[in-house]
Amino acid sequence: MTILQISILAIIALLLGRLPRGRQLILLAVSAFVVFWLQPAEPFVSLSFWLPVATLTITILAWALTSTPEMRGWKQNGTAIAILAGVVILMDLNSHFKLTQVYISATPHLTLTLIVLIVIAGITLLLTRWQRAHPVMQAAALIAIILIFIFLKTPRLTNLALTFLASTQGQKPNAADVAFDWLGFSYLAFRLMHTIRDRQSGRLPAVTLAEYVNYVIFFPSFTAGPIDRLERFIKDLRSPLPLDDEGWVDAGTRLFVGLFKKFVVADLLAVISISDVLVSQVKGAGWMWLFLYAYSLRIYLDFSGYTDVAIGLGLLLGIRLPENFAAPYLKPNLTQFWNSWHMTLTQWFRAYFFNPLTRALRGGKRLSIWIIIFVTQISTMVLIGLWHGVGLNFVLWGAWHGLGLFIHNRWNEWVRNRLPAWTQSPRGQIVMNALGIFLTFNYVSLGWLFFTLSTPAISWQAMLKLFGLA
Amino acid sequence: MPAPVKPWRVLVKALVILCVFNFASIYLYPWLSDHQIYNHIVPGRLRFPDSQPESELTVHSLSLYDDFDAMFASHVISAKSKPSDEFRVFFLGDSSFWGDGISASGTLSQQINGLHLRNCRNQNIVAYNLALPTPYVMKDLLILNNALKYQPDLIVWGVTLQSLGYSDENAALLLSSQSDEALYLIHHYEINIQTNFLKPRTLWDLTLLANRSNIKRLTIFQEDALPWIATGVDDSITTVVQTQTGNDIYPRSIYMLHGTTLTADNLMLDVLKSADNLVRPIPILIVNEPIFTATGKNSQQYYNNFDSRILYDQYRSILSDWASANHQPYFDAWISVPRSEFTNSPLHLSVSGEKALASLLSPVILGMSCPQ
Repeated sequence: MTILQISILAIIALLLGRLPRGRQLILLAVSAFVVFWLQPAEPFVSLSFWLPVATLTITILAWALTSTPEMRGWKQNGTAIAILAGVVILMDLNSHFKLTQVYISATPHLTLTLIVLIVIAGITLLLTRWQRAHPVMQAAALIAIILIFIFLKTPRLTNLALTFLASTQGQKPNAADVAFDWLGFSYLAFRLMHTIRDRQSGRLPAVTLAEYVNYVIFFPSFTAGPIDRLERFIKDLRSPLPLDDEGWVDAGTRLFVGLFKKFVVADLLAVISISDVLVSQVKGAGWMWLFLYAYSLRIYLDFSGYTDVAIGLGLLLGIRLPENFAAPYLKPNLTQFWNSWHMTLTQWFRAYFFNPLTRALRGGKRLSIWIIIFVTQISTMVLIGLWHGVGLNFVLWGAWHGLGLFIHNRWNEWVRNRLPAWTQSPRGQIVMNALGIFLTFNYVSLGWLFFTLSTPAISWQAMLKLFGLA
Repeated sequence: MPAPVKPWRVLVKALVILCVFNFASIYLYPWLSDHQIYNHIVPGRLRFPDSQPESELTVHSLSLYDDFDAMFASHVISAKSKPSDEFRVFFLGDSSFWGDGISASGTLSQQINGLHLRNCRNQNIVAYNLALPTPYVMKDLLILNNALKYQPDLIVWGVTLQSLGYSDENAALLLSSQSDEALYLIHHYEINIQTNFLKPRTLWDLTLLANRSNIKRLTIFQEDALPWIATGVDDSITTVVQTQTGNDIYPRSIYMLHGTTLTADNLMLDVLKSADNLVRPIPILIVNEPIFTATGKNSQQYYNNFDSRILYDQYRSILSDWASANHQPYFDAWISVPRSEFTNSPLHLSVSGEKALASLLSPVILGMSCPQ
């Protein structure tokens, strides 16, 4: 998002937050509009229209699969359906309005859009009626979301698909050599999977279509999180926090701090952040460390800046989104780091992968505790790595952290009764804490090499240069 | 208990602070652009910064052509006053003289310095690269106007058919930000360039809000000193490695000016004349830059992807005639550099190509440094 887009959204949030009535439905319309508005240009113009439509469609279908019968009535959901269809039609009609500053004007023919909307409505209706098939359909939906995710995060697959699309339209294959960007799908997938899994386990609260869609595509957090939980989100949605004087200041501060972190500090650090080019050109190890630290700070300030903006926008709307960062680089060990870095993501993985896997391993064959810890830590972190992109560098980044967490866990066990007495004194604790922070920050920084450099070979070259070995 | 915060008070204070900073920027920015890290904490650059906006965050260089003062302040030319035994030669021109695709230490001016020339008065001949990519002689005139305070003894000016051609696009890109100076030069020397798009700058143009892009670029440029001194690389040269080996020609129409007939009126020769008037008695050596000449497909009609044979021959003839008529020192280097020395365009030379050109130009420079 640009500063201008954030400013426009802040004004909208401010006005929406002041509305005495109808806030939920207008928020729905705005969020749906934002899904179209922020969608990046695609190599095929039509994708810039159909991807946002797909976002809304899978969200509605997921609601149909997870909603409870008492929430499926036309009376509760008719207006929301009309609003969502209205936004899609309005965006399609931009071919007539030609407001190209706002959205593409090369939209599909209205008849086609109407047919698609009718088909979506039909499928939604069928799903709400065909309740017996829900358990199977929910499992199928989870698999489908994961498959879409793998497809989107694998550049080779997306390029293949785009090349195919190009050939069907008589374009040269290289015209499609652009990764396609389905705005917000990464976070959308997490929210949908959370609701489906919680429906399967019977923990999901009953929500209307408007509430569900508002949760999934809530515009402040749609593109970059945080990943809220539905039961928490709807509490604020149903009774928004009052925007009193303190609330204003809180929201304004978060917005300002977020914008400053992202657009001033992080953008400045980008110039001196480690990159493929710098790795190939820099000779001294000292410079390499400087550029690596610059990247560490940049990625933190960039991401946490966006989170601040999202939280600030949410507060203007009366919704307090969960925190995503809590001074992660000041944590004395890797476990605490991951409890304070992208917290909502790690909580998601803990709830839906790490804990179930740990339970499964403990309940099955008698495995030693350290094997269970090793398998769960490594697999969770590799999955988190793969969430960023399907590639060896992300696997290595995940494995690096998984290994670090495992080593920290084992070290903690081993060292528990072996530390000398002075480490327990106040001064000793300060020293140990500082040492822990130093080691953790450097371990995390070295891990970023796998994350940001384009290939493992370049990451390895950088690692050697950092230690004066190349 | 602290007093409750009143949002409207915060807003009013924020607006007041914004207003103060906005107008303080009118005085602060010129000071900032003159007082840079370069030439103070780190050495000055050997050539002006240049890069495309989209690559701002990936290379060790940033275009600052919106602010010539900042460009000069970062250049080694402004590092110290002129020593008495120095004969200063300023190289003006486009990407070829600037050294597109090669390191700053390999450009033409540095090759001249590498020859350690001394003139008849036993002065060291020291060359400075004041070229800036984008072929447009009016931009060179603006740079020259700014460079005079650094006391040049000789100007070597590389020109091409493209840089002497009229271009509204280049005029808008390169003159708008220097509109006051450009308007002065155009009116004072009666240069034939449309000026209706040039608006005199106002105080508002120097405020924080209006000038924020320049401030950002200037800030990033200071920060850029770190990767630069860490690598010694001042441009994204890693992306320019291919050689101009293709003999077949696929003409790029934007460079095929004026159909098949070129006249003196189609060339901005009045800019060259104005420069002569501006710097007199300092001599100017006009150099027709070397070009790559292909021999494959379409080479009967074209010398290369940029130049049609008919137009280029006419251009050389016009330029040569004009130089003779105006007693203007002129060096035609058009096919003086071997074809194998061209890199990613018909105008860009390799380091050894620059060296070859330097050895051709050095006797001329030596000659001009000791007038009879």
